[in-house]
Amino acid sequence: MAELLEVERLRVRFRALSPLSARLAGVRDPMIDAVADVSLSIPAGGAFGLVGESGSGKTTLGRAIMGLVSVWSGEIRLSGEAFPKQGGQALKTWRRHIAMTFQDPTGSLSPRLTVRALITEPLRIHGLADRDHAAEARRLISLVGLSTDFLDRYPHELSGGQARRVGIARALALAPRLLIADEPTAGLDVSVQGEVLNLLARLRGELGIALLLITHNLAAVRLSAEQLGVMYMGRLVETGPPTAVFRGVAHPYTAALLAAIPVADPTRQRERAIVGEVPSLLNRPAGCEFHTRCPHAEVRCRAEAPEPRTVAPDHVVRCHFPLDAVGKR
Amino acid sequence: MAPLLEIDGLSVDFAGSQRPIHALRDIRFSIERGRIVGLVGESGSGKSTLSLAVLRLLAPSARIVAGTIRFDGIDLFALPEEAMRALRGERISMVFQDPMSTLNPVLTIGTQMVDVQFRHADLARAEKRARAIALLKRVGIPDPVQRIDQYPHQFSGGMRQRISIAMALLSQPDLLIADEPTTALDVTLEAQILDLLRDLRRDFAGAILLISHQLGVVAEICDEVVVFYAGELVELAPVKELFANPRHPYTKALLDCDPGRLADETRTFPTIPGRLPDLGEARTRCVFAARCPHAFERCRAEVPVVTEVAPGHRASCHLLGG
Repeated sequence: MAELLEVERLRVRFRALSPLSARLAGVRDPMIDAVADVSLSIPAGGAFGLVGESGSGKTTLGRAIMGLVSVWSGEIRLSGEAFPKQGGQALKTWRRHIAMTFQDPTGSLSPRLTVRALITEPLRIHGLADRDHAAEARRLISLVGLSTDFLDRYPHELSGGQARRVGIARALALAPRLLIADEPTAGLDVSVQGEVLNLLARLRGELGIALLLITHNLAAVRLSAEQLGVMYMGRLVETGPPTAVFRGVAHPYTAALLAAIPVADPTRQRERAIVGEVPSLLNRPAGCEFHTRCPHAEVRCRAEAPEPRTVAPDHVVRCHFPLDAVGKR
Repeated sequence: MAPLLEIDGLSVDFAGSQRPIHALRDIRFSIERGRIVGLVGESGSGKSTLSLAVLRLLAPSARIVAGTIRFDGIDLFALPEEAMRALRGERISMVFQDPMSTLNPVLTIGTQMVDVQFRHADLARAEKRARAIALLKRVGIPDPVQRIDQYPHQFSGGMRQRISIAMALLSQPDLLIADEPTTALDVTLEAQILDLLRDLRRDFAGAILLISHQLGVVAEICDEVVVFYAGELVELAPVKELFANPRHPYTKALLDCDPGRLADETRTFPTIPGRLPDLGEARTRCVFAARCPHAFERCRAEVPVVTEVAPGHRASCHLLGG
């Protein structure tokens, strides 16, 4: 299948401290790599699930693909076409093909606009005045499974799940080829989470749209994406088909994430949680960046950064000592 | 011995624009000392209203229509405001969902942890500080002696939640109410906080009421579980019993929705079709009838009574023949 989105060795850097505070804090390099050397691809109509803890760079990666933050180095291509460096009209066209829904479902909708105005706003911005906006609004709202009564409501009159649906309708207005859904299930009740994930799956089927699912909900990715990527400190540390990763987890960090999921089974005793927290991006650990928290770290891990290696077809891990299929060395 | 907390027939209304909203209806359960009780329910089920009722911090628009809450034998609703204030924070503490908004951003952790001990006039400031440091150490803050003089923004989200737990424990409360304490945290930090709560109960003689919408969290650390739906208690059971043998169709549906329990082949996530009933409606039928796959005529005509299906396991459903 042809690749729709290709990201190659992408690096996004931010200045974390002003030059003065950097000197005061004794930090030599005030720049942080929010996204460090990430490569991934999504075929047309495919779904890629991106997981990791807060601050791991998931959202920044999504925003870089949208052109909302600038890229330091690396490449992003959509259907073989490179990301427009000059901005302007070319960037506007880029954003017609890629849409994003944001984390805070109600906060990302203007409180002063009705649902009708909100979901047809992209048409106006992109100068598609010739389209029948009333008909489009009805089509989009039913596409996301809400009745047309909702068109006259304001964001504060929507529940969390309804606001998500409106956000998705708005993202679909320009018929994008890729939808970046940033934490689409965060803050929702478990029964409503299922509804939103089912909706995304249905839209993929009906519209042939590709999906980049950014989430910390590993269970959601397991069942709704063909490819899973685990990010740690801006780096993809493990990628592979979710079933392969869940059954034969290779990176100790992924194993720790999986072990941390609370399971609704009181007879099962969970392993102790991994210790510590993510180190500061200003002081990246030498060698493998996970060695400070890794229960299996050895001398080599502290000295040498691991290169990606393939442990099974399509299953790639950045670890000197990948776990084997039973989750142990 | 009488239970530590005894909620008996509690009903709470909120003033609505046309008619009152029944936020809690006839809630009955109790918490024994030394237990962790999980309170599960979706948004709008009344979980937070219940915790605020226990603390007597309900909004002015709320009205207690019926029922009593007894804490260590004391009738909380009959207590003068002054006595209630002494109880609050002293014998009943609360940990909230968002640790950033419960800590004062312009004061150091140390100042806040010393100030919160204002009732202990007998303790010198240095002693209060030492207690704070000891508790910070207990909840796993590294280098507490140095870090106690830092501000909340200098701590990560997981650390801040540990600090708010330490703060809630300063007064050695009998009852700790934790309202979604891990919802704002990543799964790795959530696991660490759950481990902490589990460890704490060993040296903490009181009880914990853990409010959560996540069944997984409840399964991990609770002894008993109470399930709320639309302001009513639909099921209550010891934790193993509830997860192995749920008797209320709502509890079953909620368990089915848990993505962790789904098979790899699943492509459609289970949901609970329909929506919450209108909480303004009078109570004339089973509260779950409109969404229940097993509902029959009686469910739409009659309020089910709470039936004891096994020792300590109660559910309110007509299918149980009550």
